[in-house]
Amino acid sequence: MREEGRISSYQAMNFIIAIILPTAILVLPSLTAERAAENAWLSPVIAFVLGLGIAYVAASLALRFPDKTVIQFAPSLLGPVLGKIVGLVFIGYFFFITIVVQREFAELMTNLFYDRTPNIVFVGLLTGLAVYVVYKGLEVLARVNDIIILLFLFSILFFLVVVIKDLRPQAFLPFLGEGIGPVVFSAIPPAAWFAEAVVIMMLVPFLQDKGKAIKANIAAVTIVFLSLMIITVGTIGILGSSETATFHFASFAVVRRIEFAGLEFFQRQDALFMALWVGAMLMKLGAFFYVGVLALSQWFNLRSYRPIIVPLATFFTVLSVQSWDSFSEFALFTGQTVPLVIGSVAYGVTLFLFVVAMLRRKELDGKA
Amino acid sequence: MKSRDTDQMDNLLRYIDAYRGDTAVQRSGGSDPLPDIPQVAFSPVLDENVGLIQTLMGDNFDFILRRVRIRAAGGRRAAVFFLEEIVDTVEVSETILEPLAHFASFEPGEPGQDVMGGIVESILEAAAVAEQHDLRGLLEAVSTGQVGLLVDGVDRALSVDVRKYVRRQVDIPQTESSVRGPQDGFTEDEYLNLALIRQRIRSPHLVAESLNLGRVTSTVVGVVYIRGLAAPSLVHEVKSRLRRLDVDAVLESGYIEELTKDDPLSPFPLLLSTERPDRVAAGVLEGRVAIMVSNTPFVLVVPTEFTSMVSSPEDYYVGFPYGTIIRMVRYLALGTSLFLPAVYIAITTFHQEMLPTELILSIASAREGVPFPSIVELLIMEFLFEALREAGIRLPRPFGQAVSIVGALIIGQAAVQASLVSPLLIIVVAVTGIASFISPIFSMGLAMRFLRFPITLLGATLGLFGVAVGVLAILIHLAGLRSFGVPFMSPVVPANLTDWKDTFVRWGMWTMEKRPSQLFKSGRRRMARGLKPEPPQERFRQGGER
Repeated sequence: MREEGRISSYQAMNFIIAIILPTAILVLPSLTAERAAENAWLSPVIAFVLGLGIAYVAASLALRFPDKTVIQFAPSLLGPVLGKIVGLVFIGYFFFITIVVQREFAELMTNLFYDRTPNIVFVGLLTGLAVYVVYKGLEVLARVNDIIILLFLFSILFFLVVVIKDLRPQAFLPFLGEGIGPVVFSAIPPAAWFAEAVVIMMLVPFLQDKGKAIKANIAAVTIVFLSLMIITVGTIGILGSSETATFHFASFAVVRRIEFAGLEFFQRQDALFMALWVGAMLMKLGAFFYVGVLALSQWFNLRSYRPIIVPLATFFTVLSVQSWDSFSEFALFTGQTVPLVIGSVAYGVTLFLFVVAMLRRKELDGKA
Repeated sequence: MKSRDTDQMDNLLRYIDAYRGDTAVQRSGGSDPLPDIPQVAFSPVLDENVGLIQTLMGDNFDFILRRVRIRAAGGRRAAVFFLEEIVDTVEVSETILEPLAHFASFEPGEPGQDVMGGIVESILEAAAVAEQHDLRGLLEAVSTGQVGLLVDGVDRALSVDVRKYVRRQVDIPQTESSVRGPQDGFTEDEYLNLALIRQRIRSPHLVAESLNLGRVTSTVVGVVYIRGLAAPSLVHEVKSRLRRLDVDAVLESGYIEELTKDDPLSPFPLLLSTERPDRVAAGVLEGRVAIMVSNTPFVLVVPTEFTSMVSSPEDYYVGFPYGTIIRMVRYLALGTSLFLPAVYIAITTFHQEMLPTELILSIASAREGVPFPSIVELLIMEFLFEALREAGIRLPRPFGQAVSIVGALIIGQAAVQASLVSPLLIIVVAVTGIASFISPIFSMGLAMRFLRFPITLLGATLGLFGVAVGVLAILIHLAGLRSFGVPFMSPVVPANLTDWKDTFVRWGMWTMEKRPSQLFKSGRRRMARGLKPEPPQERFRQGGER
């Protein structure tokens, strides 16, 4: 495997933020509001606890094999056959999210901004950019990501500042009117999103300061949690929980409604937010696509991942456009299937690996 | 004494024949476009040597050959020859011809010394004298402006350096003038340029090495750096990239820039080319390497970063608040020159809801009667603007007035009245044009000028999403660039937050305690701690108590 460059723990943190945040702020408010109604703001809190746990588990697991990605260390942990199968599951996980992200992006663009442009235009262009950045490698991806995530987090803070005066406290009442059950149930999607932090298992070998891997991963999950809270509270506080649940892209609906007192001419600036969000979405797509192709090339022991970039990107572009016939089908899929699939892989397989590593700790230490 | 062997002579004769067109020039496989002058040793007979030189150089109308007798050597015959206007003729007669003819004898106490040694030690008054052992070396020396000296009975020659190239006086830098700060700019003379730097950095650590590049032109290329500050590996990399250049000619530093760029296909300049000595001095002091090319006032500084292309030395001469504001204005202008037309088209065609109703109505009414879509209008105007700009540079001075009047009338008035374009669009194009002049580095301005068009087309086809795609593509490209190995976007990304105080802003001079992190791993401190000035505790008054 050729050298893929070095990134700092700060860059790894931004990488993990980029991997979770862009779609989380997009769909999670409505997904949680659907189930937990006015208590939807509690579900990220519950999910955050799980997220912290998996972030810690994944990072510390990865640190047991500081020079290997999960694809490389799974066989030495589980034996060749089972290890390869686990590797394949992770590859499937990365590519599954890649395809969902592609479609998610296209659906937002066509639904909110360009209603007569076919999906393929948006998927194609974003994938083209992702191919470009993945071709340039991890270091470049991390550098671009640093800039974009910084701007993106600033825009979320800005969102907080402009919506805070319009929040309606009664939108959050009654508190736990139907008990804790719906809230816990609604925590599944955010918990699945937080669990994307397991991608750190692909990054640890490239970290300059490996000692900070756990810290970086936990910091990333915390920042995502705070941003998600801002967006969820802002969305529900402005739209109300029932209206939030009817939108698929509720946060954009809020941005669209932002008004500035005294600046009546400055309205409907959601297109600017869209332009920034395109960058964040590119980072999410690029990050997952990067770890996906890297994982696949390592799974096959290829010397470089670059030759498989374009074929896979083409394939995924087609898949993302063809897999769902309509937006409503896709919305249903992201609401019901996606959280379960990605959640079960991230939590289930990672915890399984972690437990095995704990059980075989002595044996492994002896080897090392 | 070694006699000239016949093989060498045959080679020479063949070369002379070829050169006169008597026989076809032999090109072995076409690999060597220029037949080299064969290496031929000198003969001890003066007339033979002179004859050869006459054959090879005598056709030039600036070639001068003067025969003299050396009085100190008992009237022995000698010949002095040179190319007239690249040597200092006064110097030739004062330091070579007169001493040869008038000095009565060599200094005593040098027995056994041959005539050549005596001439060098006791007669010639010029500072730089070298001995030449074969014809080729002598001819090459003479073509760079040295004076050749042959003496009868000696099978060696002397070359005396009294060159005087045509040089322009130091002048205000044409492309990078400033209000506060030094007003001198580089000239076409590399020695003068080096002097401008040496006057600024009066340190024995300042090193200026030179290479000769260009198979035909033999251009002097200077590599200037501070020993101890510039990383040895960087200096080595610069020199090896330069030595690799096996080309006929290096006529300007642009040749070197294009042939040593890390990414030759990038529109961005990856070597900083500047006319300002203070800028080069500042760069060299940060551990960079300057590449000076003879015959051009543009000196290259490597490695360089994006942020230094957008800063000007003047930022450091005015106070830091103004430096910061000027820099921010520059970044805004940079953004404007890249994106304004694209954003204008994107918003007016795709996102009208972003504009206030009154504005969108006035845009619509202004466009009344214009038959083209906005993008066509814009392309027409951009073309006219770029054409005027180019014409303004190239056209002979007396026509300048005429073109500016016609341009102003056509662009300003007639186009609008003829309903070819809308007035708002003219504002957009004009603002973009002005903003594009703000770049302190000319080649950076060119990059912006070039990139504006694809982004405009993206904005016109896909709205703000298209603009975002363009921005992201440029960002990815920039993040992947390197300038002599140093990431072009550093210290922005990979981030070094403490270095950010000299990127988009220019913070107080006392905070710039360290040298750039992308160039130094250790030894970064460049000033003492705690230099922030403070008022004294006491009040000082002349002739009284406190």
